[in-house]
Amino acid sequence: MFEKNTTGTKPEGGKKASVISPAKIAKGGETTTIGSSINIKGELSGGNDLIIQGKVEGTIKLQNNSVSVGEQGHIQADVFAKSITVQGELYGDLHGTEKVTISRSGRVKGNIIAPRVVLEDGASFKGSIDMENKPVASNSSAEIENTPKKASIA
Amino acid sequence: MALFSPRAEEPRDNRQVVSCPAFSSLMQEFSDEQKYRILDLGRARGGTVTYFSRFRCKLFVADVIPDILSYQESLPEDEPPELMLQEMIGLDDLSELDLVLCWDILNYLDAPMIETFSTSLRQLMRNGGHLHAFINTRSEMPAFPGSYQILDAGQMDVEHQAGNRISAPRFAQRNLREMMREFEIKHSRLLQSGMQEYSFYCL
Repeated sequence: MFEKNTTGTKPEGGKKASVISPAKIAKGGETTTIGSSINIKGELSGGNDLIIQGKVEGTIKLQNNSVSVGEQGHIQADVFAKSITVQGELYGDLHGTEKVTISRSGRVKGNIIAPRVVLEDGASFKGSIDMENKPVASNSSAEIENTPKKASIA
Repeated sequence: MALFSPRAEEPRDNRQVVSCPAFSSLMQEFSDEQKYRILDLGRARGGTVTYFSRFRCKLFVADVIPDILSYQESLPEDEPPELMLQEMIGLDDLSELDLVLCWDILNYLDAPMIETFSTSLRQLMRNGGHLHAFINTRSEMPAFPGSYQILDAGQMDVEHQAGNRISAPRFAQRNLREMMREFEIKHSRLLQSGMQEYSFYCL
């Protein structure tokens, strides 16, 4: 799934990945997990869904699949995927062709380009959300993940 | 400057739903056709993102209020503030804004800071752009700014951190006009919550 550069040299934009520490990429069905002890620099691409618990720096391109950044994940990369979920920390731009979700434990600084964006209550986000390339959503289809308890109406 | 604001205390029990008729009026002017550029100075809230998803827009989430307050606190007495808001926010492409959501911060700034804040903010906005804000009219207010999110065009949910209350500056309209010379008041409504809701537009 991943192209690896085992020389340990830092790749330049768009070049092959270099594995900083020994990689343990466990494949289970259609989902690949990058464990918490793994650091990867470079470009990740492929055709599986991906769960990242480790550190990735570079670019992640899985346009037809989902990318999930686990609570232990630390990403410094632009991410291109069908759907993206962030529970850990991510610094970069998120391009989701279907949906981007920042979970309550997620911390993101970057720009989001996606037709649907969900910020769960407690999520940290700083950046921009571009809602240009989407059909106009109706009220009924709007997704609200953090409906508050109504205390009083002022 | 911290990458992220400190995570808010949870659970929160100081939640309130407030009406916002002036905001509702403002939103009725928004069309589905035009693309808008909107800045939320507060921290990211899902309801606000969801609400603006019905428009073609680019929503900037600045999460900059703690930084502005820290800057104000760090200023030596009698030193005039010089707020570089764009640098403080640190986001690319932040210009020609159509709408700025300025929720609760004005209650926590002193008059000289509001003047420089207003000038700095105006530089990021297009002519005729709008600013929406709440001013506390009661004698006391929570010690820290609340976090607002839109429930619908006429209602917002406000979270305040539990804690002490402090005296409120209770800025009157004439004070705001003097401090915010780059803006004109468009709508102003006194709400049952004790907040005065304002929408401004850029001169």
